Amino acid sequence: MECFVYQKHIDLHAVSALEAIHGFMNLTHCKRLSRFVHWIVDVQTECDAVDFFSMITSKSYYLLNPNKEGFVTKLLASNDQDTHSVFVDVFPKESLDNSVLVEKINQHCGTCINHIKKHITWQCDIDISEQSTEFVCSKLLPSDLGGGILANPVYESFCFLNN
Amino acid sequence: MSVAVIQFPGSNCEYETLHSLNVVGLSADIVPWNSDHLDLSTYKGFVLPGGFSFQDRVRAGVVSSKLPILGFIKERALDGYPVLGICNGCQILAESGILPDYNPDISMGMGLAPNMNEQSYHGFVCDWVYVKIKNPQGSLFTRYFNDTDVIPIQINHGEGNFKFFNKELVQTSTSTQLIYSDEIGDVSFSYPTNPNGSEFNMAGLCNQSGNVLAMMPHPERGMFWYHIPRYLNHDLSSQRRKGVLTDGPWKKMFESLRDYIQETY
Amino acid sequence: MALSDNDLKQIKEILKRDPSPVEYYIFDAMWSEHCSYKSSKPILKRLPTKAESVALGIGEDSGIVRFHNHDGESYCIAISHESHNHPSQILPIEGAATGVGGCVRDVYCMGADVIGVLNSLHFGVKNGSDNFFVEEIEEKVIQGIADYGNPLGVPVLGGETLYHSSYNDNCLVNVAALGLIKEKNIIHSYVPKQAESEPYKIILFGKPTDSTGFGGASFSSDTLDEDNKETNVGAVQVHDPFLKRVFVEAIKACLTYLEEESIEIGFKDLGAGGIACATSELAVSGGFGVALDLDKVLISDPRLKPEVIACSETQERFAMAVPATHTQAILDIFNKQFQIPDLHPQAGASCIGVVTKEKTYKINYQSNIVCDLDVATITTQVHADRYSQPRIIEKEATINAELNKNILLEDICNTYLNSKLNASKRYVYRFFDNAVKGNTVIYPGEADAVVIKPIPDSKTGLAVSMDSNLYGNTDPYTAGAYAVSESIRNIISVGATPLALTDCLNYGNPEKPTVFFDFEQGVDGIRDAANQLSFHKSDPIPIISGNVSFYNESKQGNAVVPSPVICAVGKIDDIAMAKTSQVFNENVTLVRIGKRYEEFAQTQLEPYLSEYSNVAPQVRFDQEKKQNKLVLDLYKDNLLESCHDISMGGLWVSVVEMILGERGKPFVGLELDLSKSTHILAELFSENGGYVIATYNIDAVKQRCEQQQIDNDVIGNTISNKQLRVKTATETMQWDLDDMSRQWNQFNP
Repeated sequence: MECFVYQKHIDLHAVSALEAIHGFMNLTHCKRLSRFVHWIVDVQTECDAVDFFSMITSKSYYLLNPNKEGFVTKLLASNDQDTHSVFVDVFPKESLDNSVLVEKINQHCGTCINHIKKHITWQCDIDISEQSTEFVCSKLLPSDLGGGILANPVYESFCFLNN
Repeated sequence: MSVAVIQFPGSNCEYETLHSLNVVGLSADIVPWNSDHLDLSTYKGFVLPGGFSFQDRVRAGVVSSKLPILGFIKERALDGYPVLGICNGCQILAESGILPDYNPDISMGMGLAPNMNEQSYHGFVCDWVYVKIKNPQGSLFTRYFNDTDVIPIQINHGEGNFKFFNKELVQTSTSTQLIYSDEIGDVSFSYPTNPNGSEFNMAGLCNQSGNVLAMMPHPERGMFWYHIPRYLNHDLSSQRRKGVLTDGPWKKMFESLRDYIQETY
Repeated sequence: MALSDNDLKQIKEILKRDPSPVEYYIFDAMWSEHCSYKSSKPILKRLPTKAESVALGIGEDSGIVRFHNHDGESYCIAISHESHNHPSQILPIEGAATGVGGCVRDVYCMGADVIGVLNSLHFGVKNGSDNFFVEEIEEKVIQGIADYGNPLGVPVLGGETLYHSSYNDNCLVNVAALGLIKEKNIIHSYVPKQAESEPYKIILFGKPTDSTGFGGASFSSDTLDEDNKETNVGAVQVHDPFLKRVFVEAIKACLTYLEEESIEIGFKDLGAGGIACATSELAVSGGFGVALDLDKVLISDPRLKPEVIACSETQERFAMAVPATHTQAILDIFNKQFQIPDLHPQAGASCIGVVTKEKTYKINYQSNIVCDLDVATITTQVHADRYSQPRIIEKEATINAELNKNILLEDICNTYLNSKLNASKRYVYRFFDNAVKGNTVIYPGEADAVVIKPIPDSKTGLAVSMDSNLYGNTDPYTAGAYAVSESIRNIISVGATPLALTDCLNYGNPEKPTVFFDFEQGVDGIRDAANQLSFHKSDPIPIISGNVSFYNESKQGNAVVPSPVICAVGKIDDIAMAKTSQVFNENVTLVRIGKRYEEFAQTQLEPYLSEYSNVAPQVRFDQEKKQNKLVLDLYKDNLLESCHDISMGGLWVSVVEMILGERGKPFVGLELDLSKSTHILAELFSENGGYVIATYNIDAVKQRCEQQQIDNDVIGNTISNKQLRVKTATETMQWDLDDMSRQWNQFNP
């Protein structure tokens, strides 16, 4: 089960990244950039994802604080005809022990979560639809030519997500 | 002959870093990130101070590493000018690929990941720790230290966990490295001797020619006698309690930089 | 909506018409408890705020006290002390962060450089599965403070963390910010007289105005309520310490420019009530009016309504009144030199209006006048009649305290060690940078107060401490008096002389007469302590800044423990003289200074007692003052090795801390001989104010105590063995320091 958490007001991480991409890297093909905290939850439940995450957020703010954040369970591409959305999922190379978080949520919410993983998903809206993924791959992500902005080549990995 | 302390938007240790340089007799200026390269060309050394440039957005140091001024500093570093990155400055040097230079084919050889304790995120840490210096003679910054010294220093970071692209190169390298140890100099790889999960207990490292040093701990907070806490189980603290400590241990680093600049330029 | 029907009726009478939406929100903000102090003002007048040393008293954004003359300059300390309790309960990260942000803005706008912050955090106690959010709020409030202070580059110079179940639904987050300023450079929060002879304009700079925090000024005056959480949410502001850090540098550049050109300005930060409150106060307190053009305000979204632009509480904004001839130069510093519009979309500086001699407050928006008020109407004093219902408070203990049956002294000692109230708080403050700026001399946790060296090339130190207690339910007067006396002991304990105090008064609903009584009593306690603990022949220790936070309760009617929080600052002539709490050497003698009383109500011992008087630890001003004087004399004659005050947890907790030190890394052991003590419970656990000092010269110390008729006792000696042994008349208890150290560090990672 998974959800994607976004900032309701302004996401300064995304704003800064886009400024760096436009201003300092001169890559204007990236029109918009959004950032989601991507929670991947291994849980035994009969609820559907929306109900499950709504239940958790009504009892704890560990996954998101509804006062400032919202979530979707499926990513949606941009409506804009001129751009093409590319979703990049970034995660640490080393596996992390999130058992303290799992324990807290289970304790507070009465859930039976086994594992939780936290990734960061970037939605890059690119105005060249043909090679948009290649553009993200070569310019925004780490490659042999240098470190990209969206992931650190030394301690992070990434993959593309289909919406 | 003076040193430029680069002020990025969000730097916050530039003034005490400037003060540390001035106290040892180096003239220095705080130079904004958007300065013209021509204005920078007269400086004989560069310090990237601590802070939260661009609020550590995306991850610490990455936005600053894309700025034009980093291209200039990279050139200067290759020309042999002294470059010191402290804390956020260290993160910026890592993201820019200036350090390490063990293998010129690797464009980015290290990264500063979020602090870890075992397999869990550890978060921000403000603490006094100890470091030892491996091959202090290998760098213009550390040549006045001995490799037996155990030196107290403050860390203040949330992303100071050194990760290396090629661990073998780090292990076999002879260039200068700062290594976290305990108060008697033992290097245990576990918390709290290793405060953040860094590979090889790395606290800082130099390039092979010794003119670029990137370190996560704050030498400018170990400059004066009153910086060394009374409570540490260390000879310097004992001296402070007796009222006989005159300087902090890291003053030597700035003195060494001063002497190098005077000798060379 | 906070304006009551009655308020609205009054407004209509004043205006002789209905208020426009913008005017409505202006009154809403200005008449809120937060801005108007309508309940508390008459009581606050009792506080001693005047003294020769005060450079700027209460009334502007910060109070300022003279600190030290150095190189022909009078250096002063500016302090602002604020609460951000309700926002922190709803959005703990943002609430706590903006609490720090708002407080430091108050200091920056006096022209001062912020040299440190302190925080007093009061959290709930988790019991069973009941309070989901208690732990999370604690974690996230701490994160919020770190998220703000660390990037801003302002060190956290201590504070306190308390736990009590009355805070379960309503945590307290109090922040004090301290700034350093030369007296000649103080900038006022009003338009200068110069504006009578030359035109002045209003510059607004900061983050673009958005809808965050709209109605925030009303927000902190409404009781928190489960059902209302959704509607309360928009009221919380979003912080941006990064942008603030850049603005701080830009402000420095501005102030340098203004000083070089010898220009007088008015400078104020934007807080509750946003543009409307800040600009009206800026003008009105200078005796002027203002005409604003809302179209000139930098906004994040063109759809914002005029009342939102005028009154939203968007963070990281300041307003400045500057001569028209210099506005362009100032705008350029922000927009060009520091490229602020490139760092954050729509952020920067703009000129939004003019200062007028006509005493009206006018706002224009898209060619319409949306606000047109006489200055006099805005400054109408609102007053709310509050009543207090006194109750009888016992002041004298008449019953001998008795332990519950089957409870051993040793068990009590152990429970104290395992209590979160007493254990090491490193798990809190390890997140806070305590040394940025490079001035820190005594670090948080090492001693009762933190010491910094704020003036370059001067060895003069500033000692700071922030304190409160949990005695208020039994004795609200003592809660106030004790908070003052403890904060002063903490300053004395490092060898400093107290300079000034600030207060933040956290209470329940003032409309309830029992709560209002608690508030009145707290203020009286603070007043008496500030007057009577001063060493100055005629002046009190002045209270130079303060804040009141009411409605700290949940809908269930659980008001928090009356919680007056005090921040004290002191001066030490030579930082080399300052000592800390830990004992480092063998054969040092420990002496307890100050008489013990069986006053155990609301102390940590109370749950173990079967019989006791319902008396909270009293503050005996004459005794305390003599003790304080003694400690400073011992410092002067170099007779002290270490010094620690006795407060919550009593002598027992004090000696444990002196042995374990901040890290729980003991250098020596201790043998306590209390066998002569006839009241062992009072000896170990009484929380009456006092000190434990460590000395090599017991004869000299004894002599001083006797000369000055101060109750004292030699309680033990340090030993090489890493053990703590306690001998009483009837038993001997013993702890291994390694075990004790584990207990001390049990909540730390």
